[in-house]
Amino acid sequence: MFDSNIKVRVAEVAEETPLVRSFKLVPVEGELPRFSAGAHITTYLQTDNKLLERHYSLTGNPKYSDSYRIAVRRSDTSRGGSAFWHSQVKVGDEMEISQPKNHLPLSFEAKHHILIAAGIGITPFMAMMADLKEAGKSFELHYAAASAEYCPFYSFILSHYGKQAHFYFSSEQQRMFTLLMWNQPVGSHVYFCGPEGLITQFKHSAQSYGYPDSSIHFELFTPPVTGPCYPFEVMLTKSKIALHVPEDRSLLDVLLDKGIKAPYSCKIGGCGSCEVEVEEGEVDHRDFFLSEQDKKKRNVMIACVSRAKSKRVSIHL
Amino acid sequence: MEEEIKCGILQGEVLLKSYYVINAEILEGRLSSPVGMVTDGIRINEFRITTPVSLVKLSTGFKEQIKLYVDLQLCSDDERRILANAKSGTILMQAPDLEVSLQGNKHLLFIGDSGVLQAFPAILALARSGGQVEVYSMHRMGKAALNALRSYVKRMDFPLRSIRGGGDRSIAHILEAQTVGTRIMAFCDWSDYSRIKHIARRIGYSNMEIQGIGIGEKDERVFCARCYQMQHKPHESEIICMQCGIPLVISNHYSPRLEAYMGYVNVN
Repeated sequence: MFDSNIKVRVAEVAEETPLVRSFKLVPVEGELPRFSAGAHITTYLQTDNKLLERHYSLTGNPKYSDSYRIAVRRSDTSRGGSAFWHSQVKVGDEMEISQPKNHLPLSFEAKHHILIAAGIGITPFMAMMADLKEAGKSFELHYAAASAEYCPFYSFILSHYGKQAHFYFSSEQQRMFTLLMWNQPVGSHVYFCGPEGLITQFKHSAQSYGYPDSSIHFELFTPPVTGPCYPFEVMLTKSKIALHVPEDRSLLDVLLDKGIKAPYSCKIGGCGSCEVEVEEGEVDHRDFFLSEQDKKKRNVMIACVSRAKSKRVSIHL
Repeated sequence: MEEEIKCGILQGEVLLKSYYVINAEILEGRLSSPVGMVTDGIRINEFRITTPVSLVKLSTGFKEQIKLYVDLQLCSDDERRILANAKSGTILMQAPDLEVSLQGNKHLLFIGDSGVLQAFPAILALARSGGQVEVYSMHRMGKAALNALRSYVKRMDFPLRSIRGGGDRSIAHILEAQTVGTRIMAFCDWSDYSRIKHIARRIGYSNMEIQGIGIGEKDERVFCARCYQMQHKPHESEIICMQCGIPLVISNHYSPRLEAYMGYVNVN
């Protein structure tokens, strides 16, 4: 992480639903960099105990960058981030955020965009729909939530994208089936954002319906669950340092703790920023960035989530 | 070094008068794709056939079997004799250097005069897979090739259609009518292959949805980094731009979108 951070101030806080708050952030000085639809920022929140890094999609219209907007759902299993946002952050507070980064851009090749969201997963699609509508591009939104009351941006979506939006409220026994992707015209791309279970289900269905991998786009906010973790040793061959990676830490965590300037971004195995070259040892790939071919043929691993199958790996760092 | 594949010959026979088909069993090595082409030829017992061979993998029973197709018209008299006597023994070959995947729910095959041999394995594999298939003959196909294709396709119970007028609009009309899951396979000369690919990409097909085997000389292009002029790529690694006259070094940076290699300005 080498980008220079941006100082911002909270200009507005709004209740989108009983569980979701949106925040408008303005620059303390200067201008905010422009962003592309699907981008997110990392927010750095200083609590009493530690610095919390959390990623949030930018929900505003990319045409305007006088402010950034994000939406945060209060999680039942919050590790501190969403709880802090909901209980501590108020208008006037200042904080640092990262430059915008985009791991879920709109495809410029797609002829038709199918956006599939559940709950807070709507956030990257808010910017996307603004972009697509502005450009006159073809799209449809399928959005699952508990009810209209618990559906973030429901009224806004209805009024701005009513023709393209389809809602599925579980309180009304409405279900969002994968069949919505079936029989779509050639050139259709699908985009998923929501809980891991939904993404896995829709991704597998899309593949079975014949969507090529390049037409399937998704963003996870938390690392996928990939089984138990075992400790392993790592040798950094360039710096001649041997490190121990315990079962509850990632290789990236250990490198950063040691003060090694390993690049990274998403920290959930999706962007490839922390890819390292492996010289020896067998890799337990747990990312969703590398293709199956890359995992077999290239000697690399994604440091934030992948681990070692062998007791030890050597990496070129 | 590439893995060599060794097969045991089970039987061989002439197909549609112009082709020779060998049924064989894979004894050593493995094929990664179900359909492919070995452009360098194969060894049958101690003899070498230099004519390109197309093949399809048929997984039946304990050992994998393959069918190899050879165009007798491209073979020398000696090679034809070798093939006629190839009823038993072994075949040695390198892994296919051109491969075709069968992924997808529906396949559209565009077959030209020069691509009939290459198309046979794909047609057989698709017939066995039970998927939806449409076969189109390209415009101006020779009578012999068209008859061979028609006979083979009829065996698989697929209709053979022709592209009305052979023009881009007819091809586009066919491609536009499809839904996600459709794959395009082109077995024809490179100019038709490029044309089909260009039309498909414009409609919205990704590179993964378009594949096949191009025959003959491929017209490769170079993009001048200075004036953006597209020009023919020669075998040499340096050229003079035909538009701006600047010396260019032809890199291996290839743009799938522009279908051209980057020509950097030669500063030496």
